[in-house]
Amino acid sequence: MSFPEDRPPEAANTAEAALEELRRQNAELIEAVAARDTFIAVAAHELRNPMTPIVGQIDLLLAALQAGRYSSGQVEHRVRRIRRAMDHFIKRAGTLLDVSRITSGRFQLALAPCDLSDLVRETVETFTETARYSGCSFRIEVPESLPGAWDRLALEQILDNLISNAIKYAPSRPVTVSAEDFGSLVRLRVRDYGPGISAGDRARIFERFERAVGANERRSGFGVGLWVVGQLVAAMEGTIVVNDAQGGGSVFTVTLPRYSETNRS
Amino acid sequence: MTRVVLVVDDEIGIAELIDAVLTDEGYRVLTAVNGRQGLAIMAKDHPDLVFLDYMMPVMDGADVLRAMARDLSTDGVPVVLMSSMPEDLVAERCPGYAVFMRKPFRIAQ
Ligand SMILES: Nc1ncnc2c1ncn2[C@@H]1O[C@H](COP(=O)(O)OP(=O)(O)OP(=O)(O)O)[C@@H](O)[C@H]1O
Ligand SMILES: [Mg+2]
Repeated sequence: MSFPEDRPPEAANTAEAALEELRRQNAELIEAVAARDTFIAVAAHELRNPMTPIVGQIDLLLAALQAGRYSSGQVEHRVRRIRRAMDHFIKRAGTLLDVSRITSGRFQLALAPCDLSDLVRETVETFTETARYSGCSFRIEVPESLPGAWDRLALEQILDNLISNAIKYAPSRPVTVSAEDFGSLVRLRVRDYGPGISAGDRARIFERFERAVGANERRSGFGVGLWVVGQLVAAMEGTIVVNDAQGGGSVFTVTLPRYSETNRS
Repeated sequence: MTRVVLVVDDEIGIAELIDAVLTDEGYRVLTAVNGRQGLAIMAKDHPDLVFLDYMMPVMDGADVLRAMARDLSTDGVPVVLMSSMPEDLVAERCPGYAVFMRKPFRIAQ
């Protein structure tokens, strides 16, 4: 590059540096736009898929009602299924909302008193039908009561993702969900009897859009579940690790402070 | 005699939808959450038709089709293969299905 003679060399340097800075910013923006496009594609797919059964069941119900074919018992049965599919949809949308909030730095914890034992029991309860379908049975190991202050929705999201993974990747086997009291800390565990996760994959699965199953895709899902879990756990100043469980399968262990700093002040 | 249809899909919502449509049409519908369970039901209940999801944990659609082809009792059973991926990406791994159905689908289909 050449500059007019009368220009001092510092000016040329400054211009060059400014240009370099612009190039860097441009590259960052291109990357950010690409990440956002990926996210939109994932979001669209994730929200369209669970709609198929909902729309289908409603169409079917309408057709049957018009033809006067259903007894009230049958109607109730179908409406319950639609209700369950809607709950599933709301959960998926919640995960995506968390992804977007975390990515844009807009995520904030809302701490409130809550009982972890109750929360475990209630969350497991919501999986009854799904677990029955995939032949999984639950074992819940929690103290009678485990009070503390947490962000309830974040806790639900964490448990929900870990349990749905256990059902998805370790079907037809028992799943144990436990909570333990360690004084100022609590420990949540979800243990399955599935294929386990290889040492090489253990760190990778917590990345966004990373999946252990690789290119020869055999399962539905977008690999954001554990990323969201990891981010929520970190926001709560906790830790998460995954290990091989004794007797086969994986165990995810989440350790969380019982009363966080924000709460004590 | 009532015709028996087996639906093999790891997504409960999809399995229940196909179940509902076919039950209304007067079929007896069985469901399985993965390929392994699907094959076990085929051996026991001898379905007349199988709806088979391609992407599943434990044993996927391609594994099931290969196992079906090896077994005389299941070899001729027609299979409706289902996937959200385009047919040409799936077909090369999947021997001998009768019909392909792209997800998401509508029940008019
Ligand atoms: N309990 C488990 N046993 C075996 N593998 C698991 C288990 N949980 C997660 N994995 C592996 O880790 C990967 C990442 O899990 P993650 O929950 O983040 O995404 P996903 O289940 O693929 O998609 P989704 O966003 O729908 O949850 C999975 O694709 C799977 O390969
Ligand atoms: Mg998951």
